[in-house]
Amino acid sequence: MLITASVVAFIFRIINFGALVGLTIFLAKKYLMPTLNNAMYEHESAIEQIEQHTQDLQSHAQQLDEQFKKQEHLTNELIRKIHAWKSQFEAQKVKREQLHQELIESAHKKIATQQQMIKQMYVQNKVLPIAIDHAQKTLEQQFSSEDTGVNYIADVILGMKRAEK
Amino acid sequence: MNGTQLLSRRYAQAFMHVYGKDIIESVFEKIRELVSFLLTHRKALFFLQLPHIPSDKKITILTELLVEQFKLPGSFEPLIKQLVDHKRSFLIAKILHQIAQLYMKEHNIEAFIFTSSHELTKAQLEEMKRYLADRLGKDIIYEYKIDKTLIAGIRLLSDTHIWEYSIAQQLHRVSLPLLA
Repeated sequence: MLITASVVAFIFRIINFGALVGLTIFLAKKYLMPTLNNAMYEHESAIEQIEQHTQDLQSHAQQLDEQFKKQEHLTNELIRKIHAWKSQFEAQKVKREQLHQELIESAHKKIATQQQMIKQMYVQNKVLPIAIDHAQKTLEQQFSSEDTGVNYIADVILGMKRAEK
Repeated sequence: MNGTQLLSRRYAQAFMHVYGKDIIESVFEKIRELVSFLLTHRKALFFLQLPHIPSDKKITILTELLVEQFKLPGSFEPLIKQLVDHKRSFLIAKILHQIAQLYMKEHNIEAFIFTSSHELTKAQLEEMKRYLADRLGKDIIYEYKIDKTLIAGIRLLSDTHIWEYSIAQQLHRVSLPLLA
């Protein structure tokens, strides 16, 4: 009897334990699992987000790196252009200075030529007519005496006579 | 050569063609005298341009002048008549000049004007004439003038030639490039 009672008790204990375990599992499944699932899901999604964020950051970093390289290239290009522009500017400056100098020299030459021409015109219009007139008067005076003029003509005719022979 | 000269030349050529043999040296001299006279007395022939003077009067006056006064041969009378009939009697001086030119061309004569600053002797003039004749291979006839503007020297000028050796010319030659 005692043995039977203890067996039954043991069976009941086992059933009780099973019921307790089942209840515990049921309760855990019903109330704890969704929470855990949620927490796991959230954790996973957080991990995914972090991974995504990490990827984004990596991609951004790569982009930044590329942009940096591009900017560096552009900067180098710009520096090269600035150097080229600077050298061109210097060359143009030199050229402009030369041109300016040439223009000044040309203007000076032109002024000198004009002054020369003015002088020449003055000599031609004023001095030479006076000089020629003076020469003419002097010659007229020199040949005014009968002897000089006649001798001059005699010499000319003598020249003609010699040419004839 | 302008229109009047051309016309005068044609009359002269026609006259020489018909009466050329009548123009001998003495006649040629008379023609030159007459041309010289008409050039210096241009008003003498002014009446020829007046239409109210009758043609026979013009013929008479021109005949008087040419044939009676200057002793040109009678062969000029038909020329005078022809010119008056054609109303071109005012061309007579130019025609006479052209006749003289044609005569000179035909007889290889060139007319010069000898100009000097001081008076030349006959021998000097003849020497210049010989010089030109020698150079040009032509007979030379000349008129002589004194021109003090030459200062000193001589100028021998014809229609086609000029020979000058004078102080005025040398002065001009020196001054010309300076004033140009």
